[in-house]
Amino acid sequence: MAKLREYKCPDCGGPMEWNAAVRKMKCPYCDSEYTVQELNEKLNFGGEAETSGQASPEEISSDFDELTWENNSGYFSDEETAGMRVYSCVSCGAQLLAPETSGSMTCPYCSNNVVMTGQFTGDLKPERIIPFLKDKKAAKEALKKHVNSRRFVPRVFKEENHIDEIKAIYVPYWLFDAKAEVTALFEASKVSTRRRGNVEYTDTAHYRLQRGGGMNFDKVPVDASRNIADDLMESIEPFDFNEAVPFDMAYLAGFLADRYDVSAQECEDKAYRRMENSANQTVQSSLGGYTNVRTLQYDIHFTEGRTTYALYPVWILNTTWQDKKYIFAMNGQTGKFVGDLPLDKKDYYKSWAVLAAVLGLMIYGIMWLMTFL
Amino acid sequence: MRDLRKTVQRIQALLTAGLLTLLCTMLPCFTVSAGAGELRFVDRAGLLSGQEADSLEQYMAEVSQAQQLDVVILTVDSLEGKDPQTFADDYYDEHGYGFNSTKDGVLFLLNMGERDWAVSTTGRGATVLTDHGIEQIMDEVLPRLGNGDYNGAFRLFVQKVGEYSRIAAEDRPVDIYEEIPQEEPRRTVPLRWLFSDLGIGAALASIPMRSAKNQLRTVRNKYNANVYADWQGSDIGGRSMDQLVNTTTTSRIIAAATVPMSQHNNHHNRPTGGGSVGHGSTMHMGSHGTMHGGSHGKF
Repeated sequence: MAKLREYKCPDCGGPMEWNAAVRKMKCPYCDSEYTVQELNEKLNFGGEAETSGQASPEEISSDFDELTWENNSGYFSDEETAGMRVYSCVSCGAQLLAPETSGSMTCPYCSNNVVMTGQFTGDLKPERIIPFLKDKKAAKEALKKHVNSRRFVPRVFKEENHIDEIKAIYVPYWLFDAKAEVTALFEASKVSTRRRGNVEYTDTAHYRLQRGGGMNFDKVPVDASRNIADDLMESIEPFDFNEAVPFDMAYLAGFLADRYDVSAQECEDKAYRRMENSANQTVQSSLGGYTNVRTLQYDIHFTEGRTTYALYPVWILNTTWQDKKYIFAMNGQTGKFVGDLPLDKKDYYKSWAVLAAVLGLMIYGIMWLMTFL
Repeated sequence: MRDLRKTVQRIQALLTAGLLTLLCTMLPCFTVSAGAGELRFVDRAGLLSGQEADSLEQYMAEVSQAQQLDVVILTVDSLEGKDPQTFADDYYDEHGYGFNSTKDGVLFLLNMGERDWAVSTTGRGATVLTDHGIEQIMDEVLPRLGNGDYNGAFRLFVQKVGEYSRIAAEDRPVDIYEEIPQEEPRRTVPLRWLFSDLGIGAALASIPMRSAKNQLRTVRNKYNANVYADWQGSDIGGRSMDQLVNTTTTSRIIAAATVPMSQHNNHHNRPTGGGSVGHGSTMHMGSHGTMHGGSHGKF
């Protein structure tokens, strides 16, 4: 039976956890700090070497333009996943990875109960991880700022005890590298007029415009968890992959992780669309100054595709108001905070009416003043 | 039978008596109001012959009667120290001229001694003969006085007074009239504007309100991957080539510009309504407490 990998403090035995503030593994009892590598050495955990299933580069073929994505993901070993379990939310189906010893947990997405459902050995293992750089204090402050800086927000969103329920989750992502190759041909014209005496000349210069080239994309993210809203995850972008480190289980200690359940193949459309839009916009902007542009030829295809499976840090909080769920997310690396807020209709329309009355009376008063001029 | 004849005779007598009484009471209406038997033409300076005087007197009586204005002419040799205007006013008052309680009438005074003339108007006479009116009349009368044609001058005066009185009755007294600048009706803002202003207020308020509402939404799909693009390494603008193929030129002749004539809108803004006001007659209080209008001068 694989040994439970517990990240115990080498100095006092307390549970070591990643601390966003100091960016190291820190003991909550004795404040000892170690980097992940140091901790692994101290605890004699092998790190990467002990993982099994270091798969050969996986090639995921794609229907799109015969692009094949190169991939280096491995799989979790028994030893790594010992002591961690999959928990499923009874309500929304979210699957979370958490220590076996986790007591009753509430789903961060819908606040319902989650139950342990099994192991995740053999799951695809992330290559990279961006550790949390924003701690809970930063998350709460960001949330408060987000809510307080806006008007007509129902009061429940500002309640302190609820805000405290914000949770840190590692969200699985597929990161796409690709090169977009564009070849395009346009017809365009430039029109100008000039006068000589009483004759007006209109010159129409006809052009043939060639556009082409390549555009490289690095680590375009698409979230790999079915139950997380894609637009929510896209809204907290960008993530800076340069701060990503090789994955180690140590980073998960004390944190929840959402279980990967969407393949790269299923995600590639989104990445593909975004890259294509970027390429198109770039070509379009190079046509400035011309009128009557006609496309004669437009070809775009992608090459040099790579995927990377990574975990990105996200703070999540959900709030229910009038039987509707509102979910907030903060980028655990950059601190960018998003979340749609509902409109307190009574407050909104009341304010509108008051403002309208004030303005209306002011205008009426000005009209009366004008009669005395 | 005899009784019947007697009754009829009695009735006849009664009727005749009644008729006579009626006539007697009506007689005063036909009498000239010239202050209990006063002549209208008083020629102390002896300018006219008796025949002329009588004729003039009769003429003046006709005009006075017709216009219900006592037209009086007085000629003197000396003003006995008074000024012409006062002399004229006093003479008019003292000799009881004037129709009705307002003593409507006009007196023309000629002082041969110092060659003064004066016109005194009272009651309706002042209304009918305004300062301007007197000026107009005298413009015509003075030359005759200057020539010594006193009869002509006096007759003309009487005629003019009659004419001006008639004009005043039919239209308005001869005078210089000025249009009263139209007083702008006090502008008010009717209450219904309050409602539209509230509507405008609501529309204006929608700008900040909508903006506040939009701020509530922060979750959006990302359209492109620009932030992940490696701009340094990209050469998507690299293989660009803009090639001029040809230039076509069209021309057109611009027609000679016809400059539209500026329309001279002569806005003769005649204020409508508001009426017009004449200068009227300058009044002064006579020694006998009656207000008189009039003018005087030399001839």
